[in-house]
Amino acid sequence: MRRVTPSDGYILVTGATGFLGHYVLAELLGRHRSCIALLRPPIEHARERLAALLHEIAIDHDEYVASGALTLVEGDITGAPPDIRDLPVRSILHIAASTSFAPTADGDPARTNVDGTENVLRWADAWGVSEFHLISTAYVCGETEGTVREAAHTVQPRFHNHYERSKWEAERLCMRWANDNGRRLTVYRPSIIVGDFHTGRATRFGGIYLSARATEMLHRIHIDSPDHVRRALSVRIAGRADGRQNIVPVDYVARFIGCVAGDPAHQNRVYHLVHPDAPTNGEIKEVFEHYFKIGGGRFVEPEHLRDDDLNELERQFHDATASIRHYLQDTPAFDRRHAEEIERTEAIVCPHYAAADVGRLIRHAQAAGWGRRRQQKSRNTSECAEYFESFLPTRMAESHVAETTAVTATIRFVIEDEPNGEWTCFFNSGVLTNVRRGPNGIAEDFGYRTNRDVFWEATTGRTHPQEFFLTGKAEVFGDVERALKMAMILHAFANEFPCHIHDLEHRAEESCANK
Amino acid sequence: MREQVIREYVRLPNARGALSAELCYPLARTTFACLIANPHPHMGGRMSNNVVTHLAASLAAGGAVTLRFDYAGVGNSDGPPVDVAASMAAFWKTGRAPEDPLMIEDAQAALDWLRRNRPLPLVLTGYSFGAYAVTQLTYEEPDAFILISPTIAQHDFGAFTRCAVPKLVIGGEGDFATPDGTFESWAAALTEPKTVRRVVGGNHFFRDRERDIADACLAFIRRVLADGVDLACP
Repeated sequence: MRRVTPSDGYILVTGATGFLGHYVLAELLGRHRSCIALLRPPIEHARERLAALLHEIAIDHDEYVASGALTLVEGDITGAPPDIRDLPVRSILHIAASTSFAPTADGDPARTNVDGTENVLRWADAWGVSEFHLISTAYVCGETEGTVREAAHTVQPRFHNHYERSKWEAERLCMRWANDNGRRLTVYRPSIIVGDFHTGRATRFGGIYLSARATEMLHRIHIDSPDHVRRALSVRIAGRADGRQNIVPVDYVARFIGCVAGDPAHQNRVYHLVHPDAPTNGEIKEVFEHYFKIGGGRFVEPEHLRDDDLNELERQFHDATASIRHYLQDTPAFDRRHAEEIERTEAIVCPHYAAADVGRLIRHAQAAGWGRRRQQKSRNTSECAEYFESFLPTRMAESHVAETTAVTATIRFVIEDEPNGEWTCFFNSGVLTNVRRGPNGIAEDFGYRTNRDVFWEATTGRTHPQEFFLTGKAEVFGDVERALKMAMILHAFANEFPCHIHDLEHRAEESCANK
Repeated sequence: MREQVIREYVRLPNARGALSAELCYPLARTTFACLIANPHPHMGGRMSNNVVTHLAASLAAGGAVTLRFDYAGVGNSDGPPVDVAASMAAFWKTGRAPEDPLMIEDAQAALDWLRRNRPLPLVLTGYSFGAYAVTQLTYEEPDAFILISPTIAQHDFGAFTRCAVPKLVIGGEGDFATPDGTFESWAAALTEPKTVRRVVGGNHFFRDRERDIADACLAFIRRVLADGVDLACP
């Protein structure tokens, strides 16, 4: 491998451990670009995750680090600038983002997408960086009619969700930054990014995958039904059969970005990385139904489908796809002339989707457990980690139970079937002062040992803790009396702030993608 | 073979409304009544507790009419839900909660109801905090006491040590509520007649040992009722 010298200048990449991020990083490394990957603390965990992700796409992380082509630095886009020492940063490729459609307790998506972007622009100023690349979304256009231009949307549209708004605001910040002479801003607006075209591989399963998963749910419900029943389910879907699901494969998007980021001649523009001939809703539905061996779904005009008129199957399907419903109904047409120029000159092709290609996406998603398996394998991005390291500290600070009981104790939680599934929580007068992960030499006052299923049952507050102890589903150790009392406090807390595993699935995935 | 039993859900009036309770008795003649008080709600005490439910059914199969109940605010009993947060600060330090006297009132209401409706020889049985509760009830004198894992480290059982009523005390090995050494010395100081049982591996929960507990209780009661006094020694 060619030894890369610092004089080439580095591209600082945020969000490198995300779905798109690690593909882009691989693309840049493959093009011999020197990169600095900003990794969320603790860097050991993020490094491990990045290495695993790159390994899955045949990139040897260690080799690139050893050669100096890839440098890892610890930092958070909402925090202080990372310590890049004397490494010259040529440009910033800002991929990190929150894809939450609704506001979360910790302020996302605005916190990451708007505040984070503003913060990274400040770093650019501080380092004298004049080249900035922003990964936005095609859907900053909001609710629109006509063809969406490959240019700044200076007039704020009506948005479908908070995610679109936050990305629009991020674009505005970047464009304001780029008004200074000599600065180059390139904005990439991909549509719905799905798995690698050739393998189907993905690490995030929102968007179109939610529809696939909802179809799988119908399949499961009717798994024992005769074929003629399965093929004639009564499921009306609010949307238009001829509307288009603008999906683009991650490898196409990464290749495009890698190409533009490496050539100043292509920069300082807006690119719509959207499919020129995206499959229609009807075509995708056919593939999903064929794959799951069911039938009967039909599109109806949204105004003809009232929430109070849904049958049980429809209700379940609609609940599962609620967050993406408008993308089935509102399918804008995008101008993509800028993108086509690059495609022509660089021989990049956005591949056409046949039924088998969509089927490949589902097959991979199923094999990946719709993202669950990766989260279970991951050390720092599981739902349990999200619970202990994010949900619990946030909610405990707001908890009436914690405040009133004013407990002081050091408590260890051991989730036996969770990799590295051990956390120590320090309570001081009812305040959760610290959470430490992993086995350590800290002497706990008491602790609980259980498995993931029981843990997530407990966090909902539905089951009395005594049931767990009496049925052997959970064990206590250390000071048993205090452990039992604390179990009651935690039960009261779980009733005050119930948490279901699926509440954190999305956030766990975001954590790996964004931070 | 154990006898079939009838379960009857009843509502027991008390000062704060009514308590949810279950009466359990055999199809055949009942020979004694048994009130069973369960652990502290702050520790998850409910009448559905494994020891309590097993005991209620086993003693009923042995000829008892048993009554178990939920304290006010627990399960389907009237009263505001038990506010763990509000009283846990004191309970955390002492093992006693401000609501303890009210729970003893609940146990008293249950006892009064049982005496009115089933006037039979009486055994007062309590598990954990319930053991303390039954020693605090106002009654001329029961025919026997059964205390399982009494909370001797948290509550004052001083008066009970002088009680001359036949008694069975059961402690689980490794029980936080009745630490091994403390339990032995406390049991040794109890006034006769008494039967003391240690359950190996019982800790405080007696998981999978419920049958042993119930058998010990039934054997004890039969001796007491047959002989008028418990002659068994540990």
